[in-house]
Amino acid sequence: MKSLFTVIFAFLSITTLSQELFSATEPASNRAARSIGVRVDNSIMDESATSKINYHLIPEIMAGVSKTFMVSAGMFFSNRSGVFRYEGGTVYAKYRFLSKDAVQKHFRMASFGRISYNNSDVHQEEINMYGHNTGAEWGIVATQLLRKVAVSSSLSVLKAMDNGNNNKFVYGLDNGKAVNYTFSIGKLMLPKEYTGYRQTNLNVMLEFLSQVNIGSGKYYLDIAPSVQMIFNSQARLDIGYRRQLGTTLSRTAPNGFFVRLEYNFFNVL
Amino acid sequence: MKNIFLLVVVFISMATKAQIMKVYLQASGLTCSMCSNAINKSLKTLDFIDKIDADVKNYTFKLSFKTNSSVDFDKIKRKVEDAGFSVSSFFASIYFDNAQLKSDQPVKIGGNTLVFVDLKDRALNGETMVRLLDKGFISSKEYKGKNFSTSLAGAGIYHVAL
Repeated sequence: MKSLFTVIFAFLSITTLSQELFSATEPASNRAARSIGVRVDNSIMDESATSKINYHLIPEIMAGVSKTFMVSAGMFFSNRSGVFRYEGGTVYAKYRFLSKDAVQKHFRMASFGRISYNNSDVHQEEINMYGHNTGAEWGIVATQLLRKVAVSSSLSVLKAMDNGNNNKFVYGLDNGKAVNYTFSIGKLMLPKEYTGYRQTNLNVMLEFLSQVNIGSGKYYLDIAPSVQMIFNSQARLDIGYRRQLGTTLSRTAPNGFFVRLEYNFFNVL
Repeated sequence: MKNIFLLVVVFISMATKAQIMKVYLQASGLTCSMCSNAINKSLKTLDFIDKIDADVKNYTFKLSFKTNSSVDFDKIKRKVEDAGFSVSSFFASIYFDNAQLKSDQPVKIGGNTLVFVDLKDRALNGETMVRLLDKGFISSKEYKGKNFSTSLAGAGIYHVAL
């Protein structure tokens, strides 16, 4: 735990420019109006109890409707059942309701919501609307960008329902409600000085993700470091690793890598 | 009769011979180059813009306009906001052809009406930089405490300083 705090303080004390396009969470900033983004999310998770690797593929399309509102839709594919198959989909929306801008800094807040459908079996007490459970999530996120650091935190409530294909939420619907907390820090490492749009940007993030089940009181806490490259100020590649720090909830495959590719089209809507 | 004559003279002199040559704006709320690129691409969709020189390091954009086009300051500001950011400073480089200026007197330039604040009555000749002072064209910190007369306010009317 002590080494953890050392890492956080080390991050905060290094004084350079910063980035807030987080990998495991979404910041309070929104997409440019009339832009479209295409995302392909890959998770390669290690099943704790077996030697199996669970691969999840989530392609997503995102649209900036206005400067304050965005929507996205994605589909779930996974091999966790033994066969690589379609497992469901999700829709997401984010509304930025507060924005205080100054030169090289901002404070923003947004409200977000997600509705997911999943037809695979319910296999763990952890509730996850991004590839595992059917249900809804609603939350608030706040992001502070300072010249040197970008910090973001979110709080959301989740409600899981029975999955499709007659897969019941086997833990009882009383244990189908949870609260998620996240805390993220991001930092721009390269370039040291901007000279143009063609320079490749390298960002480093450190994120903490936690869930508390409202019914049972059980929790988990994960850490997710990642590196991010932005090419030509238009395309993005995130590579990260998520690791469980502690849990009392049953979880099938909490540790693993994620690789995300994103490409943005501006002024196309 | 004398008053009407004076009014007509004032009206004629208010349609000033002047042309907006360039706009220099600084955007706020961003650090990264992809954010700057979003602003750059958003501004490019304006039909009256000929060229954009983006300084990624300082978050500034120098806008050059097509000849004989109508430059709309509000549209420029909205394009920065559509990209998700704000304008923290907005300067227009205007070519004046012997324009007589008085403080708080509206001056028509292109499709925009400019009201010069805190100005000693003078004649302007040649290229001059003016800074827009209205909300959305300067940082919210600088805007606090500014009080412009409400009779000289509305769409297309801008309060400026030299």
